[in-house]
Amino acid sequence: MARIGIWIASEDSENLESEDFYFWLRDLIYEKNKISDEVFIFGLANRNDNFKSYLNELNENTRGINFCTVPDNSKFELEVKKLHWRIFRVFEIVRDAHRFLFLIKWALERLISFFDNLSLRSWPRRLVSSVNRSKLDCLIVPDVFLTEWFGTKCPVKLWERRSAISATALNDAKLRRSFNMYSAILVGGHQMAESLKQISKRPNSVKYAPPSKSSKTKAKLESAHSVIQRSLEKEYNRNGNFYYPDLNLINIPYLVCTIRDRGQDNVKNLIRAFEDLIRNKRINCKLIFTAELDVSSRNLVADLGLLFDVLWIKEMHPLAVEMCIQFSKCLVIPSRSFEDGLASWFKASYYGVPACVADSKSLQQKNGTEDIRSVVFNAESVQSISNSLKYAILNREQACLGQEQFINANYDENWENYRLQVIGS
Amino acid sequence: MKIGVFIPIHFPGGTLRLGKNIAKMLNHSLSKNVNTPVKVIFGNPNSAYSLHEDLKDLLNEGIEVVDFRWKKISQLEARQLCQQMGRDADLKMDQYVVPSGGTSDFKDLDYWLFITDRIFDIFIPIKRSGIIVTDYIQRYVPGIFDINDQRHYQAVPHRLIRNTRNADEAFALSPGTQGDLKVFAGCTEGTLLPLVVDDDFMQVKLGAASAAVEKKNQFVWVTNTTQHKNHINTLNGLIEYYRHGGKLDCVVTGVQTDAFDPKWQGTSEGDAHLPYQKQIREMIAGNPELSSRIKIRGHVSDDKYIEELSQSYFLLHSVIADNGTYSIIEAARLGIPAVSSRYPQQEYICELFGIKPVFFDPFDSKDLAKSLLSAQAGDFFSAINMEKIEKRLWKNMANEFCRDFISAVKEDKPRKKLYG
Repeated sequence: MARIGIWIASEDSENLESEDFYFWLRDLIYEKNKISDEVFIFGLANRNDNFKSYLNELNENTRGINFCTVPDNSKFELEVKKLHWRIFRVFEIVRDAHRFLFLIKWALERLISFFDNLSLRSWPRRLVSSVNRSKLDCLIVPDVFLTEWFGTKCPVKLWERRSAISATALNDAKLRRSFNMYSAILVGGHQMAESLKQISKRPNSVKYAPPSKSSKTKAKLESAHSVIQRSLEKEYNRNGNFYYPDLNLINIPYLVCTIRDRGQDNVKNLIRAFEDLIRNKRINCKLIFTAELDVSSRNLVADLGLLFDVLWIKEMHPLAVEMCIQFSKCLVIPSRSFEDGLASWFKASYYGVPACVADSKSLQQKNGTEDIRSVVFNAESVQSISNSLKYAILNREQACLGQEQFINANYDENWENYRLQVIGS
Repeated sequence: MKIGVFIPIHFPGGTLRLGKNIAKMLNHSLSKNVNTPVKVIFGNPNSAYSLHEDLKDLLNEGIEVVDFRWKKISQLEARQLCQQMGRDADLKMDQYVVPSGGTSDFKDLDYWLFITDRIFDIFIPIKRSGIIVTDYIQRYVPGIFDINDQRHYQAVPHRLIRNTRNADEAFALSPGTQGDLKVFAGCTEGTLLPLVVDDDFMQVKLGAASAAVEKKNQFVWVTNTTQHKNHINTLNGLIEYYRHGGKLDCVVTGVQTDAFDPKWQGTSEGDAHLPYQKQIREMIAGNPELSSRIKIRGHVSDDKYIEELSQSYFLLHSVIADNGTYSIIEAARLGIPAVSSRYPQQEYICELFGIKPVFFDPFDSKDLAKSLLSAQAGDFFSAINMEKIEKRLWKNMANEFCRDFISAVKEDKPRKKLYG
């Protein structure tokens, strides 16, 4: 069987910390048959540790999975990153505010480029040589922006899940250069595929990859309560709020919003709509965020006197996120781009949990939007959000049916096809 | 078996009535359910209730009344107590409380039952304990507590919830409040007990009241001065009502309602500068219809209340949220219909007792005015089913109540870890 490597190292940690990523990776390794007898996961220490603990929580057999790890906390690297970031901030200010400071801009660009190179010299180099020593048949890179793997000497396959990226964002020299280095580009949405085909010299190499649909996990969810409980206890140890530690969340009706640290647009209106839902519409439930809210949203929750009804858990294990979705009354995806919450939406659909989604142009371009009309809300209108939440809670079956039809109309269910594409069989 | 029923702090209205009602039912029927003699002790907080007026019916039933106060203890003492009890505890506050009174500080009792969760410090449940939560008004009207207190994890709103979660059992008296207990307070094992009415205080008057009483051109609005009673919307509804031909005076009665009288200057117990009360006074004073048609009686005796109610065409109940009011049942006992705001707990009570008030949306003052006009016309009321009400009087329900209570308590559950 093929020796497959998966590259999860990146300086930009946010995408890789998301539940989306973990769902994908787990499915890749365990769906039906493992993709290979030996899987090599190349990552930074804390990222690999997180993934390992995620697999352990699931009681997965990790035999045959080799974690190739480099530490990511060296003092030198941190200092380089800080300096790099400061220069970049200055560059942004200069770029926006002083158009005619050509020389300064030029000097800053050179400096940034120097630091780019410098930051690529330490841990990525070590990981690249580790890839080369492993004699892989294929290296899978799950994000189009992970470029530290340049220099590996094996076939590379890229899978891009962030299908909401615009073509212009991809149209830069670095990316064009990287096209030559892998044999196929697998993307998560038709739009993204079209965009890539336009800029790639080999449009046939751009393939559409259906989203991951995790299966056969029900048996492993018996410990759901304890998994969520651990997140709540961790939160209690962090914030000292003794509302959290013994909260039996899976026995309480709640709505869940799997936002991440960024992209918390429309969250405030969701909070206001939730207030309307419990105080005026008298729907008895909580609202759970699986990440920390930003300061202004936290203040809004406090000002509305909702601190016992709206909870957020700063560090939530991906498995706990999955459990939270499974036991919720409804998933809410309030962000401007619904595809930011696509992985959670698939999870919800899998578990028969209805989802309410903010309306957007990208959503309107999909097939079968009629099927989900009652659960799509105008994110600018508190009443619209609260009405669609109410509908989803009170008409669970209909809402789920509509969402299943919508997902089937837009996303290929055949995960196995995608898996075969990835391993090249 | 010895069981203590405690009202944590002095409440003059419905909470006292509920506490006495439960003490009487336990005293009356618990022994049959546990096959052993039962002694019920009623805890009188800081001797606040008068034995000869407020608690005379308990004494008549043979219930012992014992004065108690909340004794403050340090964190170290609290930890020692928990250690003695063998209870795991994560204690972070500087100060805790335990009930103190009698000869043994109630340690000789088998069970402590608290009526309402209004225990404003974290208490250490030395004995097996239960709390009957009356409502979670703060969830719907957050302004009844200082809203900033929610931000401080050791402040009162957190302590109330923590005490309820720390107790061995938590009880509610309506499915709506049980839902709040579960979702808002996080007590997923909260038990529902039967809702029972105690109208002993009305018995003497019932005969007289059933005789033809001459009606005055009035209805009674039973309220108090806290915000969940929805005064602003109600006053706006009354303005609409009078503007559209309302003919009846509104008689306001209830605890501290004197503070709504525009001429009120404050008393040693009441501060005339409380902004909310001032706002209501100004609202009444600023509208000629309201100032001439609203008659504020304040907190009146049971006899006076029954007299006012009997002379009225109907009763008005207009809160945003609570556990539902018994005043509608009391009115029904006198044959007086009601106009009531619609919320789950009140709907439950009305359904249970077979009462059909004119319901209105508590947030819609026009809907209230419309309902008052309908009630004034008198054509919306259906007959009151006295038989259904009498079935739920405490003496008829005591056995069922005690059976449900003891089945929730007798389980030999492991005691929970204490937080606070």
